[in-house]
Amino acid sequence: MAAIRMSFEIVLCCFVALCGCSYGAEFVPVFMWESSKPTYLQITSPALKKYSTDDFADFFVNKLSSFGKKPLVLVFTEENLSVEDFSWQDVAENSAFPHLEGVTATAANVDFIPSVESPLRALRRLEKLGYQWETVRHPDKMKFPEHIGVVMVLKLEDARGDEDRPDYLRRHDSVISSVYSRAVSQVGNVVAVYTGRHSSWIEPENEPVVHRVRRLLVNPAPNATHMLLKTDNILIYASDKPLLNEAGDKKVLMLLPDTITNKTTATYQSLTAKFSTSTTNYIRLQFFFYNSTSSPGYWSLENITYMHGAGNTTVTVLRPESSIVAPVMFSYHCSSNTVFKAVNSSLTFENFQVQPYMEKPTTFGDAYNCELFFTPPIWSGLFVTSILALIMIWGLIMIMDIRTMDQFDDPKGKTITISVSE
Amino acid sequence: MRTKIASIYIGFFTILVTGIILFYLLTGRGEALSIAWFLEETSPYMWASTGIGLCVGLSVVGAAVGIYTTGASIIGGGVRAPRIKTKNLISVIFCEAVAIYGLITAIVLSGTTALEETEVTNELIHSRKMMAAYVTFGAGLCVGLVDLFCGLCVGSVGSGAAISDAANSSLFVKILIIEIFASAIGLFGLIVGVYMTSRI
Repeated sequence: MAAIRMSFEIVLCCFVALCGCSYGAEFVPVFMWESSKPTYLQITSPALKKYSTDDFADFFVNKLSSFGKKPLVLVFTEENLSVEDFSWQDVAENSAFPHLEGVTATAANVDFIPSVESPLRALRRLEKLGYQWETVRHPDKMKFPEHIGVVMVLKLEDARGDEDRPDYLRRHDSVISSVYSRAVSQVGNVVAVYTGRHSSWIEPENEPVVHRVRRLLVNPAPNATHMLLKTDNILIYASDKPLLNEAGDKKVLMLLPDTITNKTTATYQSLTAKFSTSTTNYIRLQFFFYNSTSSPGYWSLENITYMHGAGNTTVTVLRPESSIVAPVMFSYHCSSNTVFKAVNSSLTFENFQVQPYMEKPTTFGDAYNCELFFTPPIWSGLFVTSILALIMIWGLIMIMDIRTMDQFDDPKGKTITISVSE
Repeated sequence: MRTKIASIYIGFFTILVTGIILFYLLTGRGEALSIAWFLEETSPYMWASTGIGLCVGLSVVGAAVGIYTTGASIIGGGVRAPRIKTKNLISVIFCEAVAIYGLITAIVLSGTTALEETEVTNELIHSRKMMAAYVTFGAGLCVGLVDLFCGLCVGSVGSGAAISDAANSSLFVKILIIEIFASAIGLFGLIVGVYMTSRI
């Protein structure tokens, strides 16, 4: 039983492989031209048909038989060729084969078949017709034979490391045209065939894809609008300049460069920076990050002290409206306005992200957001809804469990009578 | 069918809860899922209201199932022995008492619940408010669950009493004693609930 199954599976695999092979055959374009017109025959081919190997062999043999004596057949083979290579044009509308265009203007019987299955195999069959098959290694030094009736196959060389496809094709194009013109001058009738061994892929855009990486710590351009404060351990970012509101007087703070210092003690780390406003010279903001003693492993931004006044003596302590706490290795981020308040003043940051106690302040750690995903009202709703759903399901189950006494019910039978006994 | 519904409900919540917990755990934010945070942040009114609702709801469910069981038996037995109908109504009254316990507790608890400011201005007052809410929830849940099972019990016993009374009328008085014990359970729940509420 198992042996039968195994043999069946092997047969199935072979069948699938065979089908795959047939569909995996390569279809390459073939470009043919002749040096002189034969006396009578004009052969045309339909443009959009897929030629199988046999059909192409018949077509080519017909073409050659129209000559009186056997011509020289030059076969130029690329590794990869496709229709897109022929139709490619650069910005100035030049194609990848400038010389070939000139050649075909003077040649006879130019044929282009866009899709032929394994044309080289078809050309091999010419050997049976009495043609000699020769493989040419060096196109520069090739010698054309005395007698004709020879098929000379030139394998065009591979691409160099850094050239792109149009240049590569242009190189081959010049090789082809030089060989062909030498052949025509030395030998009378030449039939040239340009084809590929495999179909090529479609060339992507010539310019490479540019990945733009947002560099957090590039020195900001002079007219950048964000605020970034960085020291050895602390990273602070806001997407817009902070707004200081002192008793109704609103000021935008601009960071003065190279004024950032930090200080680390056992209980806190702090960052001090100087800002300039439109009215005053400079004010100092000091951010205090305490490592929490009540819950170790958490840091909190307790306050920002703001020093102003004559000689920077007046100190105002601004506390955050909602507490800014996150575990060490995580940053705190709030996309709505983060406000630090004192009695008369407030400092507002937009899109605020901050992280202290970093070993290497290159990028922020994962952010604890001020906007939670599951807020307390959502949790309450889920809790109450689950209770109600449970009750409803219990009720449903009870109703489904009602069994009516209809075992002996017979709608067509006579109704029972019960004698009342006291 | 009922197992399918129950398993869908349980399965859904299990997968949801597991997914949420695994996300928080594996991204290193395990401490963000904090039941203490949930209890502190949720509104105390949710807890109080849920307690009151569950109190009257669950006790009425218990009474209803009890009366259903007893009533069906009385009616069924009364077809063959109509003498039982007046005597066995006492089982129904015991079941009804259970519902009344729940109703009284709910009214008392509603009386203690008042709409007030929940902004945390004074820690002591806030903690007292939270305690009041949790006590209300606990008392309501206590009375509700106790009366639920008490009602079920009284109903089952009453049903047996009705059927046996229909068969042999001397059995009924002794069976009534069993029902009294069953009803006493409901009274325990009421006492505990009222005692908890007195501490608010």
